[in-house]
Amino acid sequence: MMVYVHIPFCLSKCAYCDFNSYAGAGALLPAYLEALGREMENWRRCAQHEPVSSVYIGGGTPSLLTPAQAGDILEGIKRGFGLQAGAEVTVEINPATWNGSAMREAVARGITRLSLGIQSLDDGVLRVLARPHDAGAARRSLEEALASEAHSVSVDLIYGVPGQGTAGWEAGLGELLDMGIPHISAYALTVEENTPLASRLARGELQLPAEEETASMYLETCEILKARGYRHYEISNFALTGHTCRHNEGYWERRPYLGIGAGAHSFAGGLRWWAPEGLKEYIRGMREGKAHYGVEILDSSTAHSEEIMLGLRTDRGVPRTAIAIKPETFRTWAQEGLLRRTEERLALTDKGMLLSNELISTLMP
Amino acid sequence: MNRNLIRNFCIIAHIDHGKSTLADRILELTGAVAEREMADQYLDRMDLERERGITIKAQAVKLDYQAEDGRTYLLNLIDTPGHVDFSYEVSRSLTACEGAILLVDAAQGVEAQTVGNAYLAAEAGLAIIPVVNKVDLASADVPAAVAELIEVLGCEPEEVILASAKSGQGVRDILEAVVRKVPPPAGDESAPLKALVFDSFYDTYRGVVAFIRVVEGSIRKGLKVRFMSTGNGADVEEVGIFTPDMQTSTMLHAGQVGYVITGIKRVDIIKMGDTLTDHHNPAPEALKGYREPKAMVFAGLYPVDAADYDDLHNALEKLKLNDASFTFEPETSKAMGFGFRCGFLGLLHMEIVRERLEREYGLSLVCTAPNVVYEVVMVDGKVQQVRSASEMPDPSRVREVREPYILATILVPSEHLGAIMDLCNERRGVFQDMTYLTPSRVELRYRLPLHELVLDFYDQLKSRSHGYASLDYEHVGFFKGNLVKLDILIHGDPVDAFSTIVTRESAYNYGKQMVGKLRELIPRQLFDVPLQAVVVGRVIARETIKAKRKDVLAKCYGGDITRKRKLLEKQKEGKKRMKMVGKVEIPQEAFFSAIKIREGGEHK
Repeated sequence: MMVYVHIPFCLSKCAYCDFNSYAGAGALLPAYLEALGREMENWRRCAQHEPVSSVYIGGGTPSLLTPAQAGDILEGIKRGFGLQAGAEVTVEINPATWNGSAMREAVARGITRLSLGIQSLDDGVLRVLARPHDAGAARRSLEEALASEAHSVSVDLIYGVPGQGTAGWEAGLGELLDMGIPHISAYALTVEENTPLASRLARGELQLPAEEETASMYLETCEILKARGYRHYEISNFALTGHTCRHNEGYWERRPYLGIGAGAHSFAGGLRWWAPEGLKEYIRGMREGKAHYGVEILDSSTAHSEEIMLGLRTDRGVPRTAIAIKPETFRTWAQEGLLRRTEERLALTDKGMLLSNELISTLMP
Repeated sequence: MNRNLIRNFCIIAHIDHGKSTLADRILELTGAVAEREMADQYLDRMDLERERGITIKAQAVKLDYQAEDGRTYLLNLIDTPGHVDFSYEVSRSLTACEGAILLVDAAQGVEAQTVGNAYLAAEAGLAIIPVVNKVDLASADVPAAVAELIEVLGCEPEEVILASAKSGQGVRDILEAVVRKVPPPAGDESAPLKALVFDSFYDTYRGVVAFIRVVEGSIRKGLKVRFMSTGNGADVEEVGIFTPDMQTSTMLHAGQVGYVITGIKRVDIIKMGDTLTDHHNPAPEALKGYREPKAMVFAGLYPVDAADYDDLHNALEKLKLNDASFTFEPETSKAMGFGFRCGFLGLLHMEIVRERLEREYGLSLVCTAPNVVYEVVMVDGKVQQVRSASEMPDPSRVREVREPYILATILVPSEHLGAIMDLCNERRGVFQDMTYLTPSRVELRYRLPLHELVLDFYDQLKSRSHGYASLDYEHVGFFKGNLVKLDILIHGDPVDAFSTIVTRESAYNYGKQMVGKLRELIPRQLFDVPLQAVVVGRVIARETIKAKRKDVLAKCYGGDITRKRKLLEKQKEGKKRMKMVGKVEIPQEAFFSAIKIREGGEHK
């Protein structure tokens, strides 16, 4: 089993963010941590669990916790469910928060993987995104993470940002490669409804780069990273050998996971369920022992859809037996260089991944 | 029943002028339908009709009315269709009546179709009761509407009744006028049976129920009858009246309106306008005015999913049971596989059929651009009917192509007269004549190719007159035209569904706009898609749809899976509305929207 812990607190809301996270709610943090403990205890009591293979503390901004608080959460998981030897334990870190000694303390408390949300090394881009840190803080943070003795360090990057430009993007990427960051998540900017970014775009204050430009940024990124020995193991994820994120791989392989925290999703035994999203609702629910979980029952056809959707995000693809594809469709896609085929599996090429919605929605049952 | 107490009448009105509301008020006033049972607009039975606010199939209902003279009259209210495509049906309904209420909206004034139908009614010798409706509307211009009615009908100002069907004002005056002005039915009760079939519908259990008006003689259960146009015989299983529900009676006499059930299962055997007579004692001749319904507009209907072909076939068979004017036969398209070439009275008729197929039978359909029927005179002198561009023979074998023409009657406020005359001239119209009904309203008559009407003439008429012009038409025959076949190639392959017949002069503009429009309508694919318009082997216009480059969800982790799957499911759902033509996915709307183009045309 894998465990995800959601920390929905932030210093400020970023311009593009529509996640379940809250700025300025720090006063609720102690009560929230207590509620996390209660929820873990509830799940511990209700079933037998296999020991935990990976833990992911995400957000929000989990690095608003002290390293000690993060360590306590990990301890709680160990006590409640047991932790496998060599388990991967990730914490997401905002460069505006933990310094080098905090990172080292976290590692000492059992964190093995530091995921840094730096997003960009360009101050202009960071301002458009309304990140609470600048490029200098991001660089410092990266150096400290690399020096922290964590088993693995990852960065989150965003491309296709208004005003970014291909040259700026590639320069930032080169800098990270020279630093030797072993894991890179590169996300195309997604404009979500009802975000400040969407409003600014709608008002014409900002302009997205042309689709063509974002597409070539993606393909360039794939080329550059592969040339430096990175495996392109999921649409937006690249890793040196031994540094893929096993926790996220678990999501794409549809392994069972337990989500702890407001709005966190769990998945096991053909069910998906999630706790209330609101902080107060979550805290009250756990305190009073009557939180309302949302539940989705996945029938076999839906499960099959998810298998295809998630599998085709990865470089391993899906078993050929899992999909029905018309020969003429296959021919067209193959001609356009969208598919990769091995004896037993079918996967998407980089170009195919760029069009994956189109391909996946065609292949879903 | 004393025949002097019978009144058969109908209501003539333009769409939205309040016919159904008036019918409802009359039903209420005469107690035929209790108020609590009233769904609004009782006479419009089909959902689709109610939704569009129009009446497609005629209905009839018997009412008891206690008049001011103290006597109780039997009123037969015969509802008539309200659209230009159905003028033949209207004329048949009129023949079943002795009187007509001519209803005009006080805010809109007289419309072309109302005039057309009023003339039909006058020709049929009906007493006409002019009514201005909606007089309580803020936007009503009662004096203008009254003046127009006087001009059209040549009636006296005091004859015009002012009413509001909505509030009930004037409804009793209307019924009194019906009793006073509409003559009781004539006709010899002892003569051989002559009954007019003015409508029919199909009942799953009883077969075809025919609406009849007994003109002479009488009809009862057990009588052996014959349909005079086809010679088909049948035994009368039941006769009755509409109250408005069906109520059995022993016999229907000359002058009465009701229904007859014969056990016949096919609506095309019992034709609208046909005469029913006694098999053993037949009338010497049929009633005048019968016409075979003739489909003038054709389009291909194809299932989006080829597996639905049989379902579509069954659905068409069932629809045909209720609609003899609609025709279909199997057709194969290279682009779209197996489907049907269907014939309709006009565009509205086509849209209604398509919507019913999708709604009532749950089918997902592609409808090709409609075209008119052509007469092609071959080099050897033989004449061939062409119902689709793909049937057009090679030009080397053709001596001439003839297309159907209509005589259009257009009513337009005088300030828009110039714009509408320009429109008619652009659309190859030939001016016939012009009459000022009032200083501000003109009746204009043009001869036009039906093809223009099928394109977007009606939309343009409305848009260039700011909605105030109205149109009525009749067919006037086939005339020679300078016509060529235009093909559209998508990704190098001709798509027969987009092939069309156009005038030689308009081919370039049409082709250019067609590929331009298709470039907007066809979503980007995974590869570049060239679009070409071709006339007699020559490319006259081209466009390219650039390949889609990026369509990807950047993130998908544990908490995103449900939401992201739903996004993709929605995308997949969208694909169901697409038709694969070769390698290209084309949305169904493209097949229909692509035709709504015209040089300089504004689009809705």
